[in-house]
Amino acid sequence: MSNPSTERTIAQIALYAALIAALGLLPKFAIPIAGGIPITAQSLGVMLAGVMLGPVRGAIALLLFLLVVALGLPLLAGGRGGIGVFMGPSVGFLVGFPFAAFTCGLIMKLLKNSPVLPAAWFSAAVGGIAILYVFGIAGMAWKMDTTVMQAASVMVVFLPGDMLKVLLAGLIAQTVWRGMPQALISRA
Amino acid sequence: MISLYRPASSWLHNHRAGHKLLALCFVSIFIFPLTSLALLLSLLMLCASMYLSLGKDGLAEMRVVVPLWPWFLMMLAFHWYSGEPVAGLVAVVKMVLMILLANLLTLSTRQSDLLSALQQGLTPITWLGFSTRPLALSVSLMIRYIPVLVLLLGQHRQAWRARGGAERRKWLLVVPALIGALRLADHVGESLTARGGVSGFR
Amino acid sequence: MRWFRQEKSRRSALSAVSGAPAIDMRNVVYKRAGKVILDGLSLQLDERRVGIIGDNGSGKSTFARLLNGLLSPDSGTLKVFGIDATQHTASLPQFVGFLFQNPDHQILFPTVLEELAFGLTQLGLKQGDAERLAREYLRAQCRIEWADRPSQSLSEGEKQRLCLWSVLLMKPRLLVLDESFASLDLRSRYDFMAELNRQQQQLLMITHELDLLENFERIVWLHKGSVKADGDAKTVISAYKQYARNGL
Repeated sequence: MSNPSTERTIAQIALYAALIAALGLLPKFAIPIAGGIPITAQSLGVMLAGVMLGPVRGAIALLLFLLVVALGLPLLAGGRGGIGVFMGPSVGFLVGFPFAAFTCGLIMKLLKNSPVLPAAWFSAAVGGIAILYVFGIAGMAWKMDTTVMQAASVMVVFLPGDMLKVLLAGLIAQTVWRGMPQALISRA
Repeated sequence: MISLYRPASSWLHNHRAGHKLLALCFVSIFIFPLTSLALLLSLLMLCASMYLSLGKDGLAEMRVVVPLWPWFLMMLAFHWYSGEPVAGLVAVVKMVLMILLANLLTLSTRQSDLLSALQQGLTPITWLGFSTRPLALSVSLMIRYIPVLVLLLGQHRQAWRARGGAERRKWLLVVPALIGALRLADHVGESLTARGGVSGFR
Repeated sequence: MRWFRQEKSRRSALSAVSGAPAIDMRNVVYKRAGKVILDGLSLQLDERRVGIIGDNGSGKSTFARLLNGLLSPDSGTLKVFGIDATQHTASLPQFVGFLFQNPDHQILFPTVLEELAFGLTQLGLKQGDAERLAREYLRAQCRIEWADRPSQSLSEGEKQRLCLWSVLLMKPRLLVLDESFASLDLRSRYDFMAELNRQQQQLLMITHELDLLENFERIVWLHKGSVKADGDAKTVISAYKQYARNGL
């Protein structure tokens, strides 16, 4: 992965966006956990896009993903898509995707000199939970016309699943790092 | 690639993508501040009649809002709890209306038409020396490689099963997919360069 | 946002020097991570069909990638149709078409028509005109029904054919094939070869399929980054087979 060219950068962004879509399309890829809340591999993709590609490429990959969803491809988990999804209660999360990926990538870059596992855990937690929830809760409060506290209380249901995703994102980044260090572009 | 576009010939299909997109923006801005339940309900009826006018399957397309019922229930509950049940109803009707209107655009507009409308809307950035070509190219690349990556993920999963991989650690399959996508990106970037790159020879 | 800015430097309208040989390579050295891949290679090639053979890792693919500007030599001079390859890397694909081993790496668009039209828009045509010409081209190939098919729905042989057509539509003067047959079955290989022989372009083909090269005007055998043998098909291929059986 030497010689960074415009063409390769565009290909990386497009292929990561495609991978996030593919993870959502694959049947039965949902990982069931105790409590019966299924977590899809797709939302893991948001954290991994930032952790792997770095802030700018990760955020653009998510923007591209959202654009193609808006154009009418049913790529969100559960086969949802079209402009309508931006009118629904989860609009905040969608808007938050690129910001979450950016944050994950940025922290990963700042923690360049610390070991991959804790760095990835920390960036996935801040980007994939803290930042994403701020956007998601704001969106819910706005769209559902409720108070911020009421909207935030909904997230209690999702928190365990998202914490597991942070755990997995770290382990995955660590495994990739050991197998093919140059694949972790955020560290290059 | 499956799309939410429904090929048909209706009055709505015949309108230009850019016009529909602009209309949706204006209607959203108009609806946003409304608080009258009666007005919103009549707008909803109007919207339903638009679905009806699309043909015999038109009304069935309204089912897109059905999976959101837990959210609607929750919204009603929250507002009930704060002693404003009508406000809850207003919020739900408004959301249903907005989703249905947006869905009208999605089901009646080809994605390529929508993309060119968007590119047209971005014309001002070309005056600053930017190009919208990488945007269109990235969209094509992404759509092209979704089925390739689905296939790749499926192959990894088979190999995983063949070697007796534990279901519990299935998430590890994401690792080869991440590496595979980056390797593929190297090849795709090379092949793009081999045909003149992002900007071509113009 | 570097990659959203138009690269003006690429918009050079170069023309090939008339009478110059397709490939004029002198003392070309190429290194990767300190390892010498091409070791002072000198070759002048202008035959209509040239075959490149050699073991894996002999530098064949690197050699091919230099010709179309995917790689640049570390030292030495390389002229392609009289154009200095080190200075005008980005313009080389105009003259040199490249066919990769795996069509899945080469097909960049979701439908057949878009894939064909892309090359024409690269040459400056408007999208509408490009699609009209691509449709005409498909009709001429008796494959008009392919136009709106998803490219992923084609068979392996059909995909490789689509790759070939997409490159040929750009009218390169030289066509470089890097193991482009590896994924095809035997019948598709012969079909494909017959189609190649009908074209006007000069061909440079890298392959392990020695029998496909029988009628070629010239064969170059690369070994560890240098030319081991160079001459007519019969001599070089039999020397290579001899080596493959018994070693050097």
